[in-house]
Amino acid sequence: MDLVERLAKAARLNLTPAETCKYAQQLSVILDAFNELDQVDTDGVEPSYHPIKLEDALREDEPEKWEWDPLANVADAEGRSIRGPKIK
Amino acid sequence: MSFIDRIRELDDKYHFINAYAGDEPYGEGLLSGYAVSVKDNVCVKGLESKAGSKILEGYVPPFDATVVVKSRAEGGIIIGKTTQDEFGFGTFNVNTPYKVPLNPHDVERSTGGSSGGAACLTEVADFKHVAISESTGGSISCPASWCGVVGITPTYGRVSRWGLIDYANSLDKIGVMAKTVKEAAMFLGVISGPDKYDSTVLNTPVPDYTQLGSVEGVRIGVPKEYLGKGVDHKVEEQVWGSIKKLESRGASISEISLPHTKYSLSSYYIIAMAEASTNLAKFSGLRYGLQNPIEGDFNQYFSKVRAEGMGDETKRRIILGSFTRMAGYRNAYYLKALKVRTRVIEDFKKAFKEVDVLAAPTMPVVAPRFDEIAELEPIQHYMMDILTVAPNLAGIPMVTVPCGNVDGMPVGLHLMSDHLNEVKALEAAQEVEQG
Repeated sequence: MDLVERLAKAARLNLTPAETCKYAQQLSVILDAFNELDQVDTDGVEPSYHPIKLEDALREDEPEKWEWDPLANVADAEGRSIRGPKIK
Repeated sequence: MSFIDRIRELDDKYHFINAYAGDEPYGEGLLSGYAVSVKDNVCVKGLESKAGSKILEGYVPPFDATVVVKSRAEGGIIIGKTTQDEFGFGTFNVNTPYKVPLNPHDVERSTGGSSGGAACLTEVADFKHVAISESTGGSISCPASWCGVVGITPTYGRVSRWGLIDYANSLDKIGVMAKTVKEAAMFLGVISGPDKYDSTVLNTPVPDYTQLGSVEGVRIGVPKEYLGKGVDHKVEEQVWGSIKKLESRGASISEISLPHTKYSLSSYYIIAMAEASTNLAKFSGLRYGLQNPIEGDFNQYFSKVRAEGMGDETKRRIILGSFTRMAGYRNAYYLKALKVRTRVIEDFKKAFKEVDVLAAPTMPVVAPRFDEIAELEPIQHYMMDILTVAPNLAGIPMVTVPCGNVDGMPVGLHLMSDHLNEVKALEAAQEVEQG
């Protein structure tokens, strides 16, 4: 329970007490299943962050004019600024 | 009746569209005369694109995804956004606050997910249609198989993902669905290839996927871990029937082993959830999508709006994904999963030294009924993906093609080939399709 509350806080998710309880129980079942990976010998095995080897893709650093309005979807703007919550 | 009116009529019955585009004239090109539907998580300029999530409700992209640009350039017309599980988190297309698509073969049953709307529309369309869909762990193969259509998940990096509302960057692949192998292959050719906006696209030439040969002399491997326990024997019978057919056309059949299959589910879910939990951090109820009146400080506002805009499965994946990346647990879960993924990839690489194509059931059962799905625990939902996650982890291409029916519900044959060797899987699929 404490762990799920901590994770929810870090992930910026308000959970109801019922959700916290449910996720704590499900987390425990799912993590138990994940522990089967301990049976796989991975000594000296490199992790695969991608399924295939990616190569650097470089292009000329040339300016390009975008035609989009980055504020097109903003609900609460003032001039060219977006109104957001206060920091503290 | 206008074309859009016809789609509305079908949609009233089967629930596959989240947003409709306007009527447009066809252009010239390979897709002239084709309606192109787009999964909700792929951006279409001027059309609400919310990836099945309330947190993105009202988001109207000011640009087209590269696959949409390429489809329009070949004369296709975009007809709308197809329903899906929220952000792709699901196997049954029931994890969404919006429409849940109904299986055209039995409306009491799931279409499969997460690209459920795309598969449903592909099956019911009585006009020329191709679907842009997307897979992370089986989201093209599963619904295509359960709805009885052809689905291609290409090699990771074959198709640009620029404009995709991403789920897990090391796994996501945009692919296609169509009624026939030839149409799906043609459409894959249209959307494949390099893109200066996506550095993960492979810079290799795109073959003509419509020039498909026979299976004479092709070596087909049947992975023993993909049959038997957990697979409905009636599904297995249909699959063997089509494998025998391939043999009668000159392919050789042998049994093969992919020993790490059993571990692919855990490896997949750890990696997918870890990546999803970081990807979804950007949805904060500011700038686009769901935007509430500002209240409280930024932590209070973000925590409240995210809780309101994200569904049950999304919250579960964020919690789990945050856990597996957490200091103290990262090595035991996330890093371990990435190493097991290496083992899974090695299994496939070894297999493709011996055979050209792997053949297996796409899904272990036919589409389940909604009342059966409602009884399942989250972990049982995940277990349904046991046959599709390994090839998705490895980023190899896969094609599902209808190969029969069980009690009136379609069964799919899954054909997998080595990286960038889509043609081999397509050739086998076409042979199965020809009956």
